[in-house]
Amino acid sequence: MKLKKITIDKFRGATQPFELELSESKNVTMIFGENGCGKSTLSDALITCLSNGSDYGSLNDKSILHKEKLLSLASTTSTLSDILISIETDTHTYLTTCDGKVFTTDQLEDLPKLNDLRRSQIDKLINAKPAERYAEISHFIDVDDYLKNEVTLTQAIKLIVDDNRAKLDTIEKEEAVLEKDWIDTGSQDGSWRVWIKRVLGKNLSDSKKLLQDHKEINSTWLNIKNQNVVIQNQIKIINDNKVTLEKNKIDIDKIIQEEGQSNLVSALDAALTFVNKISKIEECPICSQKVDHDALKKSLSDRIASMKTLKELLSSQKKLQTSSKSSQDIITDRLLNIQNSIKSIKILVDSHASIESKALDAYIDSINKAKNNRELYSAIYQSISQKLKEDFESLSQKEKELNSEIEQHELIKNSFEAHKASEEKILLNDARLLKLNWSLDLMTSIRKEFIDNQLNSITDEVDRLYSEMHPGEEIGNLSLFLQPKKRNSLDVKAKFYGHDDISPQALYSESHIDTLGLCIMIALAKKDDPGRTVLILDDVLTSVDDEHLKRFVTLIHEEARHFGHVFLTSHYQPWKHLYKYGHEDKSKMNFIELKPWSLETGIQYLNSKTIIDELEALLNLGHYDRQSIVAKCGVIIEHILNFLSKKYRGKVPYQDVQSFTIGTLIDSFGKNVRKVLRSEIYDSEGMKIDEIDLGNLIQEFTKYSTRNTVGAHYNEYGLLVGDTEVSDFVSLTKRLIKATICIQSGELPVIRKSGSYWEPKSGSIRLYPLSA
Amino acid sequence: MSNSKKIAEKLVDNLLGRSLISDRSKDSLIDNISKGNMSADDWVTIIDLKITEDQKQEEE
Repeated sequence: MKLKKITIDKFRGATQPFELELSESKNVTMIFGENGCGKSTLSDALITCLSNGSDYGSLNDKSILHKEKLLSLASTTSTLSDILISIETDTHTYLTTCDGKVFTTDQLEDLPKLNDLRRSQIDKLINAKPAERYAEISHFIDVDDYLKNEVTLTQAIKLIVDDNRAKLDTIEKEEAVLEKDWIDTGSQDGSWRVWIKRVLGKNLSDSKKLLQDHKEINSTWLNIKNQNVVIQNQIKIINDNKVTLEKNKIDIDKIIQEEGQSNLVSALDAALTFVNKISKIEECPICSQKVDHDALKKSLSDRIASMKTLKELLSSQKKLQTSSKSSQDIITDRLLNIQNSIKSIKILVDSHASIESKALDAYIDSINKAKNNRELYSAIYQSISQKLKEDFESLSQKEKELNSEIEQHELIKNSFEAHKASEEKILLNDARLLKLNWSLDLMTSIRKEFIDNQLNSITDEVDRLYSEMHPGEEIGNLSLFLQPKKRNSLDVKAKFYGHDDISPQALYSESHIDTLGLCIMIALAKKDDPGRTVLILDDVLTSVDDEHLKRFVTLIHEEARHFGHVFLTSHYQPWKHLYKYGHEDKSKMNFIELKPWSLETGIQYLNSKTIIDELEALLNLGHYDRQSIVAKCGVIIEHILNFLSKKYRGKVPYQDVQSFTIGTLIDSFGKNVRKVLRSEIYDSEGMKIDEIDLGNLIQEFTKYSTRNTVGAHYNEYGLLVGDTEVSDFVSLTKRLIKATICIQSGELPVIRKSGSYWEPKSGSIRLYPLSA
Repeated sequence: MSNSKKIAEKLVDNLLGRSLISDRSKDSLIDNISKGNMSADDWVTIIDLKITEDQKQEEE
């Protein structure tokens, strides 16, 4: 997996659409740029895309992260939804967009793994408190999801502990209630616990039955009272009817005396009914005399009308008699009911001997006797009800006592059951706590053992990487482990001049700490599927000296072969110059230099050139800019002579600033060195194609003052120098370049593995001798 | 297999031992643990199962 193309729009510094195409054959990309050119925008875009929006890179370090800050300032009308990040690899293209809230990558299949490192992380890994260090490497170990269980299991323990506390409160509260009840009821049986056992052992079924019977007696007695009200009403009706009947009788007698036979009215009524039924009557059916039908009808009607009062009185008498009979029937029926009710009460009373039942017996007898004697009944009822009222009042009192007894029993029972249930729950919870704590210990020890194993497994690799960085230094021998008694506290111990197990942050220099942290991170990143991993090192190095920088860069290039792609950013000029002046091979990397950023242009870049590329570019310009060409040649000559002078211990004058002119550097080589100094040039097949007498070549430069007259200052002599001399000077410079710098990779011959000459990694040059 | 799942498997083996839960339930439990999906109540349920299981073994 290699990165091929990065496209960014409206994301952070990308105020204009930014597109960076990378060579598919190179799995290292180096982004150089001063602060504020957009390096972090590029690495953050990669991180946002490859983390599927779960990580925003350098912005994670900021104390406040608002997603709006990810939007570029290009347009006031743009929204988060306008942001676009596209990463093209040799197999897939991944597109990341934002729906206004969340960044997501369109496909997660085969999404490259991401390991990003920033200087702040490296610093924290070594210098932070142990409890904070682990956070910096946790994503390499990748057990964070498992770690959530330790949190929820701890919550479970807290839940149970809280529940136990609540249950203890319940027990305390219920004990107070029970003890108070015990005291209130006379502190019997010596202690409340014994008392409760006795109370709860008591059978309350008799009391409950008695209470039920009392309630039934009361209810039945209430029914009797209601029946009695009905009876009294009916008695009143009968009495009233009796008075009216007697009065009516007097009136009827009086009319009969005046009118004759009292039953004449009904006879006349019958006669008129008969006449009305017959259509025509000619003679009287009784005396057979001739009659006029209409005259007869009129005569009958008139006589009946004259006897209306008598008729009404007779009708009233009949109704009153019927009413009285009906009332009497009701009274008889209700008396029967009362008798039955009293019998029911008597059964209940007899079974409990609660009240005197003689009165009830008397009552039943009296009712039998008084069935047809209403006055007698009323008198009996008055007498009996007065007697029973007293009895039933005592019944009510007893009912209250029973109610109280049963309620208290229920309350005690409920309190005791709550008390008992709480005790049982505490026992269960204690068993749970035992297992939960055991589980948490097990869970933590398994995780720590796993992490320690993971950390152990990289210590050899860290030592190897670190010794590459610091060969011959008595430091390293690293050990990483989680502190046993802490949840996630990472400890780092290392060797320092014969002392093992020292804390590096106490004795190591800043650059040693930087490189140690970096070696740990690289070793961790290499552990798991590095071939699918994009390793981002965002501005990780600033504080190393020249030699350590070279070793670090060599190390990074060496380790890059394990990874899918290594994406480096830096603002560190010495690092850039390693490539620019040929100290490192840049042929296997994308070497990108960012231009200064502005709101209008956004992020811009150029493919960074070596100093040789820059000379070629000047020579290929449309016009012959001799001043620039000669100046560039001068810098190249100084650079190469400086390299050779150092290599062969040239004698340069001591001065405050180690900056020497071409003349001084040429003079630094002694005659003996110049005699043996030579260079052989080889093609890619390993065939020698040229041999250059480097000592003589260097001496040739003493003939030219072109650098100073044409390439450095304004002077009249410079105007006299012809283009031919300039061309000769350039040709001589190019010959020096050919003798000392690999054309393909731009590197100087710095490797001495042959034992007899210096060579670049490409092997295209052999510089003799190995030493002066 | 993720690192979380690797250690979740080890945890479940140590935690439940010869527990009577089915292989399917065990796989589901491992999956939930490795993804950090277990709630406090879920853990109490698992522990109750463990207590019941231990009691059965003691009785046997």
